[in-house]
Amino acid sequence: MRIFADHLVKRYGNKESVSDLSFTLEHNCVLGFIGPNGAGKTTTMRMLCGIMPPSSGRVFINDMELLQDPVRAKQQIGYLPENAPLYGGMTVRSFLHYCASMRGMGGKKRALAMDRVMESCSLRAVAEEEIEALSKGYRRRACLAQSILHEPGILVLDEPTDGLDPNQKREIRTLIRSMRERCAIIVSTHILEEVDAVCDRVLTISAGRKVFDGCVEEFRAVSGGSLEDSFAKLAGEALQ
Amino acid sequence: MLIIYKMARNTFVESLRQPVFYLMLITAMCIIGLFPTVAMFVFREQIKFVVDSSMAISLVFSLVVAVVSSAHTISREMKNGTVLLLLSKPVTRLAFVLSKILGVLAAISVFLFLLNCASMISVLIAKDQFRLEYTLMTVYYSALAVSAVYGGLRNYFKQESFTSNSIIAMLVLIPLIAGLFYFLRVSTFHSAAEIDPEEFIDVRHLMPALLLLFPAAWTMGTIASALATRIELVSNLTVCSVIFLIGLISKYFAIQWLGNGLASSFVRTLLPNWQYFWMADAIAARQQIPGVYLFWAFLYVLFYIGFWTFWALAFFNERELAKDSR
Repeated sequence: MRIFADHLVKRYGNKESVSDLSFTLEHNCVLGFIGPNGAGKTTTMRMLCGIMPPSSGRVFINDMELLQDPVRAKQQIGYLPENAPLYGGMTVRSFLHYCASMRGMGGKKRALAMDRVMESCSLRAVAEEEIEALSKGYRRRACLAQSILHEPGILVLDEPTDGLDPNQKREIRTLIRSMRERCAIIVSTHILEEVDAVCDRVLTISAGRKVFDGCVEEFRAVSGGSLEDSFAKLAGEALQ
Repeated sequence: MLIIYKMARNTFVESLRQPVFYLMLITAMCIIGLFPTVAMFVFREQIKFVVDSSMAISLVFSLVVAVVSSAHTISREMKNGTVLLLLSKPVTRLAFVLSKILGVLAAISVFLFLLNCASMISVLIAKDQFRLEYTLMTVYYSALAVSAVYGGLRNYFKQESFTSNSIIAMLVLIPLIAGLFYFLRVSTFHSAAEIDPEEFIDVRHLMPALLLLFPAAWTMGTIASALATRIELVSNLTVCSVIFLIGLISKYFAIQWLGNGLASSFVRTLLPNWQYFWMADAIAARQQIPGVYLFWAFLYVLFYIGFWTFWALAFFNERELAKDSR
């Protein structure tokens, strides 16, 4: 499975939120998509998932262009939105049931998929509880579970560990690593320890522009020191 | 189609779960049930008074619920970001908009159905100028209380939604009571000559007028849903109130300014004319509402819903979701 972003641009009026962004990602790789707040990470993620169309440029899932055949292309994508939005009144089981139905899954296939994700995301204990009553960690896991229900070839995770405690972060990261074998994963984050923990490659954007694309070691070498120094240097250079 | 059905069903359930939906429903039902007591001060026109007042309450409350439901389900879905979950799945924007509108219309239909049953009961309670049907009145208010208790128990023991369970209980009890007491009353008449039109109204006479409230509420529901893709609850309520007021006087102004020609008819058709759906006067004049009128009213609304669905889609297609849902 492969995702290819081809010269993506997103404009809001006169302001360019994402400028001429291109990259490719193959399966079996975790891409850390990093940048300062407001750099255009979330906008890019949403364009990659077909939620919002780019002002110009294209996204290809394998050889399928996302905007030309969005329904078929989206079947290959799993998406965890920022802040893990959920239907508070549903139980975890009914939420996953609903999401599986949205993916066209039914009967035994749906039951098996729900069973699998509840196991891998450790949701069994809260399966019958209302989402509203869950802790932040469980909510995040429930949202992650819906994104992997259909075993996607491409997984897009927008700040998957934001606001979680260290234990919860570790659990989510272990889960991401375990899924690495099966799909191409894009992890948007501004937590640099996440890059070290789960990513094989780093793509940095600042003010909507790509400023770095390479492996983690190359990223570290930018400043010759820590990831924080490299990040500060790249973001600072881009803003100048 | 299956995905649209699933999303519409979810929207419907989410609408019923809103506390404001239940609050408006129970308020309207309590008010409608009380009209017969006020009708005791109206000389020989208690049925007319109850029908007029019940229909007015049903129409106004259902129009408000139409706006509140669409704003709650559509605007909130955009604000809290769950729209992102749906659109990241193999769901088109058209499917999203259609399912939301259908879900909201289904919720409005349940609301109006219950109010219409309550209106029917209210008419049966106001059976005499000086004597109310207290048994029915007691049964009616008890049914509302039992529904609330049922919802409360389900909520307490099973952590299920209070509002939707109460509404489900009402959906069983209220039509049953209306039907049962209607047939009990009818069975006391041995011939048509025994029926005093000031004390009893045939359901076949009342039904078309009550049915015509549905297209009015659906129209407002579709307009509110289209607007909800762009604006929040308060703005939506304001715009819809203006549309409602314009719809009440559109015929008068169209004729004043444009005469009786084609342009006037076009303007009157384009603006939702609520007078088309208000048949209380016809009932008061004991006129039968012809089936063909109902047919044309429903057809008009079908086109109207199509027209606003098109706008809803246009509004939503141009909507940048990213801006609010962060």
